[in-house]
Amino acid sequence: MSERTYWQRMRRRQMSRRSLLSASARAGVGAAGLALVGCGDDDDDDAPAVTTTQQAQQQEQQAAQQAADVEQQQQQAAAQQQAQQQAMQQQAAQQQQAQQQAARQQAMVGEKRYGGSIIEQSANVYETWDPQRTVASPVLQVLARVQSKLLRFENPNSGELTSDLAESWETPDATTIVLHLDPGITWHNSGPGASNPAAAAGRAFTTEDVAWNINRQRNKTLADGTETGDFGRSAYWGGLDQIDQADGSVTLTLSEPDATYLQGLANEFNLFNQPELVSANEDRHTEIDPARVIGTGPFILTRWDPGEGISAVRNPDFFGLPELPHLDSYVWVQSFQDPNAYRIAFEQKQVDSMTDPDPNTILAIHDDRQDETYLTYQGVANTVAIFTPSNKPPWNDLRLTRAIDLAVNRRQLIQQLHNGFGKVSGPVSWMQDAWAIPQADLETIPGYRIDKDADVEEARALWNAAGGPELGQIDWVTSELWASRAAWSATPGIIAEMFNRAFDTDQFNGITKPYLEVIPSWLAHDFDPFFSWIPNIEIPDARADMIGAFTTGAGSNYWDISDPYIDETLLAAKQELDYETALQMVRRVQDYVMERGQFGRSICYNYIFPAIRFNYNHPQLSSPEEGWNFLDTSLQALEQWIDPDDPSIEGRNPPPPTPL
Amino acid sequence: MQQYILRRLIGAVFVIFLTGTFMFFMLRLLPGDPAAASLGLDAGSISPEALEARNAELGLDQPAYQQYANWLWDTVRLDLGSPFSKRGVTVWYEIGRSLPYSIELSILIMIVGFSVAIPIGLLSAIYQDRWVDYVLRTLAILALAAPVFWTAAIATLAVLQWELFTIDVIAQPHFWEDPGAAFTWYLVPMFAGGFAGTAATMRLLRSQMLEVLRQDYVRTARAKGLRESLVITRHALRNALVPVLTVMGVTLATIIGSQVILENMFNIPGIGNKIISAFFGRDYPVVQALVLLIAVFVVVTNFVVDILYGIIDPRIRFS
Amino acid sequence: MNRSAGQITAPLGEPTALSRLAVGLRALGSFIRHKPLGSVGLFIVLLFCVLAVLADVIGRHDPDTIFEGSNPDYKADPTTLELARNPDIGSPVIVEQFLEPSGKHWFGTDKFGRDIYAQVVHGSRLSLIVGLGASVIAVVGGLIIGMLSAYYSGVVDLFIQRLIDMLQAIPFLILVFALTQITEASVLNMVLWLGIAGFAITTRLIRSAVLSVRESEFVTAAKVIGASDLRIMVRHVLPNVGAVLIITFSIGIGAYILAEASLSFLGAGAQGVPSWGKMVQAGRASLDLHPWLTVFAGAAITVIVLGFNLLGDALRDVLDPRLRGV
Repeated sequence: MSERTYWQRMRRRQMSRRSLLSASARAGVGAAGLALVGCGDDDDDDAPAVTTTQQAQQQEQQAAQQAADVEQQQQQAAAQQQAQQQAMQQQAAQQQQAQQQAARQQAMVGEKRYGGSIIEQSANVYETWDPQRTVASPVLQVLARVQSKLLRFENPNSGELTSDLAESWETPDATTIVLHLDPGITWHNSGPGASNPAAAAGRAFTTEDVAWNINRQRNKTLADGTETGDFGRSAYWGGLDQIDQADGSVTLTLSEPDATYLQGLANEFNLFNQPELVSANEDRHTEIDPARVIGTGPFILTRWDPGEGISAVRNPDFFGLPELPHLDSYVWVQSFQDPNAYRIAFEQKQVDSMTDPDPNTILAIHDDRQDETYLTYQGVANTVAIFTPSNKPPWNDLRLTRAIDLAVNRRQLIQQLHNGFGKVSGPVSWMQDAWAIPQADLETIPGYRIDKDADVEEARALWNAAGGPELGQIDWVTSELWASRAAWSATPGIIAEMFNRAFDTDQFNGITKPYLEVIPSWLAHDFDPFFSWIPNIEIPDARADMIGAFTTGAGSNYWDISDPYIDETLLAAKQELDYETALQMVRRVQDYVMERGQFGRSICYNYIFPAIRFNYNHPQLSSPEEGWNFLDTSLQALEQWIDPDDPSIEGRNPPPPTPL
Repeated sequence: MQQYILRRLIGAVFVIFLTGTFMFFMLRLLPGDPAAASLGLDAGSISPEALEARNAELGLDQPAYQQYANWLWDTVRLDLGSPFSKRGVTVWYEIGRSLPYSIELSILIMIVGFSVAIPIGLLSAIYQDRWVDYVLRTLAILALAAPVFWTAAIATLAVLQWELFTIDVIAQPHFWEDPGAAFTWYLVPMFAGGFAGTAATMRLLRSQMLEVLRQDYVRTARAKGLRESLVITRHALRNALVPVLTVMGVTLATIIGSQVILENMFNIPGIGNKIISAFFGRDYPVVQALVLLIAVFVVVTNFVVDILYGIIDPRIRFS
Repeated sequence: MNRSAGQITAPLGEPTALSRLAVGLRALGSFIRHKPLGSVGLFIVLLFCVLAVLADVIGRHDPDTIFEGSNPDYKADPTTLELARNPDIGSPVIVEQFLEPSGKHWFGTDKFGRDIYAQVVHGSRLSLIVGLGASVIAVVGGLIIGMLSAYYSGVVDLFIQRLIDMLQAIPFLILVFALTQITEASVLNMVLWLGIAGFAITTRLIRSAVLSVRESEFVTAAKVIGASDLRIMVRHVLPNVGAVLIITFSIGIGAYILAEASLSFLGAGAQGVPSWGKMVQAGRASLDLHPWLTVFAGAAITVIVLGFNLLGDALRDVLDPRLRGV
């Protein structure tokens, strides 16, 4: 086995836990995160990545040690801080703020507790219970804690992988991935799914299960032999040449080298079904029922009633790890149609957290209840973009496309629509941290410059030179799904005003169209200029997205971009196993794309949802230092916990979960 | 008489048929694809084949006239189908779940509305064009004029700020399950909705009272020296209330589907709430069935009120 | 001076025009004296009409203008934590959002950095256009259909009546919401759909008014002397249902303005124009943090609807034949 493969480098380059902790201690904050950075492997080892159950237990102990260390550090830091403050006799307001912060630290640093039930909001509509036959993320959010993948993201933002069904893995060469399954894994042994006569409850998870799940998606066929287009990930699994099983191991052979493939295994879509239960229910795959779902994950689904509620209880046999998960159960209530109802539910402690498209609501509540709540931030992986149809006249004039790209006032939009909660993104979203152009570099690139006047001046010159003023009225589309949210309802006007001001004209007119009408127009490569989300980022490795958007004939290349330089570089990057080289290749393509006004695919930004939680509710990732958890389904709420001693728990009265 | 009832009955059935047909074709005119609607933001990722498969499963691949014929035949047999967004249950199940909430809320709104409107209407007719009349009417119209989502939001904040009572938006208790919790849950919406509906009833009662007070029998009653309070309650109010009470039935029928905003704001899973979310989700069977249900309610109530009216009041000719 | 001169010359020069004016003024004076509430309503309505017409002058700012200011806290390369603490830190120019009411912005600024006072003033245009427009469509449509229906009793009447029954069987808000979903969310479409959904009610009222007139002796007399249907309708029926028309028209306006606000709540409001309903809807979630986002727009809706309702009620008192002379 080669020592210096891409995979290992990728694991090693992650910031080590310790440096992370000390960094946050230096910052004097982030206590929230400290208690939560629980079991993780020691990132400093150069040995092949192997995580066994025993190791995991060891790590648990290590983590406890670390947490204790950190607590000490933290107390010291806090004491220093207080001493400083006393010495400096700061103003009353500042002191108050510091006290609140200290109070929060005290509440957060402490031993994690086990047990309890958390209650949060979920989606309302689910199209199927089969995670492989959908493209809808709500389904996957439900099943992510119930079923397992071959690998998980330990830290979703960086792409750091950890064991799930496979306890260890290796990559002997560029087209081979060998996965050693954890021998102790069994299917759920209780709950509605296990009680289904068709289910093989409590059976051990085998390599046969892996092969069955992959093959049905690869071949796009159901158990009865009928072919279907339902399988959302058939293209991904279609990249396999061969699947071999031997002695508790599965060997995947790729048809061509693909450095992004391993991360794909941890993609939220790649959950594993039980062949027996699924085969018996395939003809009713859209009828949601917990009795059709069985998994190997940390929680057992006891209720799944779309529009009404979901609940799950701890799986007592989860991977032979009795400490995980921390929660006894959780309840997801149906989504609130209106912020008023959500606010009532949160403030009266009927739910434990709240998030809303309008940060104002969250900030208003926090303003009222600073002592018993805190804010966390979650990045939204649906990148916001401006599309200009550069594949047809008049927008195929590169000058016009560039003018639009320069005129978009990204930072202003973030402030107006999201109260500033967001960061500008280049062709690669800032959420794909390692691959994105750093924010500092972005500030010098036309279209992203801090000096917006310079951008606008340049944009206006291009616009006038290319005959922009003669184009007549330009309808700029905003998707209705976007504009129907009260907080963003003024968006069409804002966009039109932005361009009108930049080009000193009144040609631009904001309109809305149903999202469901907009999307087919992309697929048909015949769309109007628009502002909206674009589909999700799925894995932290940005190469897959770049290839999908910019290479000739690729799936999301709605602009018919065909550029030999881009094609060549990106395909080489995909096969490049050396991480740094690949990063540089993608960066070169990004710069190239930026110089050309992003070819009409003007990425604007990714926004951040603030969420408000009561102090007793400790989520998996809660502090910004730990990153912006945009794929937190991978964390399976393993370490989410409730502090029964926190004073904020007073008056909490959650509805009980449906028992097993 | 029988012939009249028969004629009205045919008319009623025809109206229900028209409503259903109208909704059926209007829904088909809506932009957007029901098969993709449940995917929300993720709709961009669906493949054309998957979309086709889903459309076929929902029966949307057939030509419109055939879908219409199927719908008509199913509806006649009282088979309302299964919601697009929740396969495996019937639309009847959804109705059974949401209708009780709507009825509870509507009755409460009616009670508040009438118990405020009747005194106001009465007093403002007796003291016509005096300050009592002006103040009461202005108040009633003010309650109508303020957008209900604004007043309800203010009331909610007051409840939260002063921790007045629990608004149980998650447990969603029925009156027969937990009367106390149900009452506090419905309290803000019932007053917000009730006050807003006061003005219409108040106006009707006031104009009826004004008319009745000028009738000969009232004059006679006064002439024979009856006390004014007796004149008002015995003679005037009783007669003025008849048309108001007949409106009550029809009002209830229309209120049931009209409380979309309050149901949304207080997470009441009623009919109005369901219709709007089904609209956004392009869930045709649910929208069709619920609108049809309300139409049946309204038409039947009208029908019954007319017949009863005819029986009570012999002056009405069945022509 | 002028007035008395006019009164002296009037009987000699142009008797009709001026005496009509005088009669009108006298009627107005009497209205104000006898219907103080109605007069308040009239005053409110006129006030908002002035606001709408002169919005560009009175509004102080363009309602679409985005106000920006420099950011004293600007930092070139903020860490994610700093960003979470102070979201605006990464931008040297910040949108002046959520400014409290001040001398520069009388009603403060909104989330987008726009002047709320200008928005409220300009919003009167949408409210008046929607209220008046929908009511005109409802009354004119109701008049035509109602008259046809009443005059040609029989199959036509029966069919129209059932159609009207159908429109009334669907809750008003849901009907309008459904209709607006079919078409683009423009002001014109909104007015049109509100009017169409509303004319079920007006048709019914007008039809019964026409029916009662049709049975009267003067119509029978006109028929006997061989007047055409059209002539009878225009010369005899129409003037006699005028009161019902005016009442229906004025009472409806407030309801349509409220319906516009409710549609904004449901996310089906008109795009691209300042709308009070949308302003209340957008700001109500942070009512306690930024009350000025909703208070002024909410008050504007309340006051204008109050005005139209008071005026309508007073007109009804005056014009309703059953209450005439009370």
